[in-house]
Amino acid sequence: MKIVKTGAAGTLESSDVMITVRSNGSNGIEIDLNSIVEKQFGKQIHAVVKKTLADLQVEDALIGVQDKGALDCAIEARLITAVYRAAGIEQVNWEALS
Amino acid sequence: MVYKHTEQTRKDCIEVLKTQGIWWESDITYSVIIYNSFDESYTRPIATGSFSGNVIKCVAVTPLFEGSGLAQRIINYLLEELYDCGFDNIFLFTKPKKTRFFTELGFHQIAQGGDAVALLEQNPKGLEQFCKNLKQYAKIPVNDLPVSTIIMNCNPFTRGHRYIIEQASQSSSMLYVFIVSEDASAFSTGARIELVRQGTSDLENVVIIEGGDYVISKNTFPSYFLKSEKIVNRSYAQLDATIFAEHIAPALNITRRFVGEEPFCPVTADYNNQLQEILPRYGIELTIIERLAYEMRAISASEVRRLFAVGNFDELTQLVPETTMEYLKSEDAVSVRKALKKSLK
Repeated sequence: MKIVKTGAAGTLESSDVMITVRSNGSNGIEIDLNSIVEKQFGKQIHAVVKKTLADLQVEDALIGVQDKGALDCAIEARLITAVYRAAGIEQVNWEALS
Repeated sequence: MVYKHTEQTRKDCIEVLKTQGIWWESDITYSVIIYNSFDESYTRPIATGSFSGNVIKCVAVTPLFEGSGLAQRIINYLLEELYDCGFDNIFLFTKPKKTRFFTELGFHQIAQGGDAVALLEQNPKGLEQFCKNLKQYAKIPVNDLPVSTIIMNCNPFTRGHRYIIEQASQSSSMLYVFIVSEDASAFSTGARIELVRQGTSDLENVVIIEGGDYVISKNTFPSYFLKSEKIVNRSYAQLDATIFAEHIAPALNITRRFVGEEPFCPVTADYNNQLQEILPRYGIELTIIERLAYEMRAISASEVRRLFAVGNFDELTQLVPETTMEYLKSEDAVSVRKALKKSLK
């Protein structure tokens, strides 16, 4: 999927995450992670973000992750929504995602 | 409780801001207010935050409720609304001692102006990408004269502007002219830039660049656009001068900045003083150019707008170059003139 604008999803509430997806030219995937549990789960969060982006076939994007202790499934869901918004696609094909 | 901003709620915002010593700013377009739910009439505001364009500002929580996560909720609501508006990047003004709170919410500091104000942005690479894009305008200087810049509004382009650009270009190897890109002016950004381009096309070492978010914009220098409030805000001037000196100038190897002498506007005059103080620290020289006078009076764009509004084209030809004159007489300028006429009444 091609990122054409800035898309955001999620909140800054406890146990949630706010993800912003921006275009990044052709500079690949860059992740700007800021988490209250970065020391414990930083690597894990990076892995979830990278895998989800690979599944969605996103090759170039600047990802901002403001994590307030969200579970992996929440991170994945917020990221998918943000990517679709940033790609300017209104209809999400949820079946194809699982 | 959350409300969209109305006249009635404005008072509530100001009440909360006062408790933290923050000024209300008149260009605010949207505000969020949280009321104390223990008070059933919901008349006691305890937290607020606002934005103008893509800039979040005037965020405050009353001292009693500090540390209860209210500011975070305010930012959350504002971000949601701003991303819905389709902005690519979001800026935020705060006091330097509060920046840590906002960096934990995903903002990145750009610069600070004195001890009073700091500017942050959401995009971790916003300013970096802007400077990278600037480099595409960079040209190799043809001689040893300094690489210079001048930042102008040109609302619209007059013979006075032409004179300043011509003077500056003659003593420079390259002259980068930034045009302030705010549509707060009578003439649209696109029209203003086009008129400068046309009016300077014969000058080979002059490059016209749109100022964007980081060069005297509502973000870097709000008080410039809030002149009517007569608050000459030194910190905002310092903030803008610092961003210019630390980021914009190095991207284009600029070593000299020109400003027009400012006999009319106190905000601009004070800004020039701040530049004089800050730029030399970064090895950038400030040069003031006297304005071109016509019949003993300095040419001013506001005079041009007034003459245009009342339709005095005879006198206008003395004040603006032919290219601008053509535009003023064109079909495109009809709506601008109507708007100007209205604002004069």
